[in-house]
Amino acid sequence: MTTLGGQVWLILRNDLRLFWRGLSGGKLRWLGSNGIVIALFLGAHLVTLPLFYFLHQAPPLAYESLVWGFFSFAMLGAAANQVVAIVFERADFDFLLSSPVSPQAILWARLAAIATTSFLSVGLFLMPIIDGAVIGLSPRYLAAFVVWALLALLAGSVGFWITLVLVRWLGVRRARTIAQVIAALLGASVFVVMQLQNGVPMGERAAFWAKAGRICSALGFSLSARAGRGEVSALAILAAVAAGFSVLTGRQLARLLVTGVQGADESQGPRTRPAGRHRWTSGLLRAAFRKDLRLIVRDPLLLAQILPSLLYIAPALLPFWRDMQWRTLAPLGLALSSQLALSLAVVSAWGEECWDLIRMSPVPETSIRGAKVAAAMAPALALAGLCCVGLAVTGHPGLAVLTLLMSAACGSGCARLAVAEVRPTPRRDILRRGSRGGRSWRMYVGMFLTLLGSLGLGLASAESLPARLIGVLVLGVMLLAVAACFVLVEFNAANFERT
Amino acid sequence: MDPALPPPTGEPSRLALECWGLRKRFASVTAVDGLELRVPRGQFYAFLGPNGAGKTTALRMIAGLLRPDGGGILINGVDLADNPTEAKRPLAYVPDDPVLYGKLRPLEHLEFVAALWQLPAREAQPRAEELLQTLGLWDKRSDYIESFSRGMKQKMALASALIHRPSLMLLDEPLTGLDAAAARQVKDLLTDFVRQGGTVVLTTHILEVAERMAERIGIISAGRLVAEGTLEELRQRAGETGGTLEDIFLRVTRSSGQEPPVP
Repeated sequence: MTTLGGQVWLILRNDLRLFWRGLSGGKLRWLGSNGIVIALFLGAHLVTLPLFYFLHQAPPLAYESLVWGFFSFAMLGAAANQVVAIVFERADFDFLLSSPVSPQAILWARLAAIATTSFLSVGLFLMPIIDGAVIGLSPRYLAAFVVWALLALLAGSVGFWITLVLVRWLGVRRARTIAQVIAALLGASVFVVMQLQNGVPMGERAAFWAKAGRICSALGFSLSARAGRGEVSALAILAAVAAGFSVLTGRQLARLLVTGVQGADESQGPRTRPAGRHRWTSGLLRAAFRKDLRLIVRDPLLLAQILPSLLYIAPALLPFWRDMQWRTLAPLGLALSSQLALSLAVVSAWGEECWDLIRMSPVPETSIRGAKVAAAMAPALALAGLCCVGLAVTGHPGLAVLTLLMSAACGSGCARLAVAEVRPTPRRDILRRGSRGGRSWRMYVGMFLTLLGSLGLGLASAESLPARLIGVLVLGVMLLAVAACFVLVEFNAANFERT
Repeated sequence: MDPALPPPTGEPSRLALECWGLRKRFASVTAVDGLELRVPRGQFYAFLGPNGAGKTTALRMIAGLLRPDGGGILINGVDLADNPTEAKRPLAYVPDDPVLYGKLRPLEHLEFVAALWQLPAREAQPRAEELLQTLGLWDKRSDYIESFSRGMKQKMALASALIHRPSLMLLDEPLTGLDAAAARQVKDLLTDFVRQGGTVVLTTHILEVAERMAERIGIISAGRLVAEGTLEELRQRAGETGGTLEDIFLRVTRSSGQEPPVP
């Protein structure tokens, strides 16, 4: 294997094997998570195939452009993550660069591995859409598979550039955070833009998309959409851009790569603030609450990954704006705060780095769990409070109070479910483990509670009396469910501790 | 307490730690097999053994982190199984890989640990400041712990262990990865702790540490205590006159059927 191609394949094969093993974990987990993945994949096809078949008409060009934009940013985020993981965390560059393998081969292999993982990262969601378009609309959409691969290559190259440049400026730790924040915010903002149509009356939507299409074309954003429809010229331009950018990356980045890797060792630690007087606190609950809150707010990477996901909730409620106006803030506040509480509680419980310290101390674990719930609830209630202020200011003070109370109940139920099971994991691995099927049934119960609470508040804030009564009934059911969760979780935890 | 076993025979008031018939299995592997241990108060006790001999498992059971499959543990005469809260109160455990909150500053970390042991703020704050100064971490009090070197983390773990003024310290390989200066500082600190009446149970691979610091040495092999005593007693038992602890260790572990670690 002395040729450049042979060397590239040698390293690429190793990278892909490690990626696959990192994805699958143990054998049982592999079977479990892949079963779910296959079910999701087939389920998505069951939705998209009939949808496109009955649609009979291609979506507006601007809409397709936004879809490609959304997936491109998602791939860019995955690429940035992979660049940091492969280049800076795997720590095999010293070994590779000291071997008689050409640096170009290392770079090409790494670029190919990053592009492949970016390509695969959106496959579960993108492939059913393309399959639906090919079968339901036109075989010309087969070109979308090529576009997907080209965009993955482009995302890999762009991700490489952005991350390496950020590493040089900011150091590894902050580069990773910033790159992920940028990609996540871009992806989420595209999703928000896609949902804007829900705020537009039905009769005006065609005009809305026509105008958006003109803007996209003028800015060149429609290139991938046109290429995906099989337009040869657009496909050729996209291929030329992707190939050209990759070659440029391969040729020019070898030196930057080596200095970037060296820079990883020299990257600055977190900034320190001038030494001030530490305000000491007494009492376990207060100290544990302060500790958990500090750990949550001081982890920008986790926050960057959690907070954008909340952005996806808001557009889902946009359709109700037309009828409910400001009252939409009631279910929105509950949904956002409960999901935030759930996510932060997961971080606080699963990211508990010193569980051994807690277990060997003379305090009951329930006190620690209570503090974790409180820490997760503090930012969540602040978020709900903002929505409540909005409701109160727009003339719905009663609804504001109800929203705050229900958000507190639902959020604490969700958080209590999340902290019931502490499975300590290094904080940087929490989300990775979550995506590998580590989430327990409690998470889904939490999401169900949120759905129930949002539905109840939405109905309770309606104008018609029957709807309000049903809403109150649904909220009652939610409260009972929260109470049941608390009782069952306590029982379960006591049992767990006994074993 | 395991009802199948006889009650402890020692005098609880004089013993900081007493274990009898301690057993732990992981699947088909017996990590600790009927360990008997009695450590009087104010003693420096070193626990030696080859890799995988069961030292860490034994310490984790004593610290209340692992539930024994059999046997019992008394800490200052209090049964760990019957009254874990009281038994753990005088205890401090420093694992080989320090457990610290990377995103906290030293004083914030110590504040939490002090709260776990229910130390009032007026007592904990000066104690924390004193410990950071003694261990040379005061100038780093504004930094996150994650930016600390291995040696600084180890010292931070010691500060966490000492904040509640324990009477019994369990240390698992506390000198691993420390440079000469840091190792000396840790050794001095432990010696002072014992001089002030504290009890230390320490595992180490550095036989010189056990030889020079420990009053009593226990050698564990395949989960069992195969030899115990002062250095002189161990020499006599191993039939070595003037032999080093390394000679004794190799002879005892070989005769017990477990290969010592490759030097």
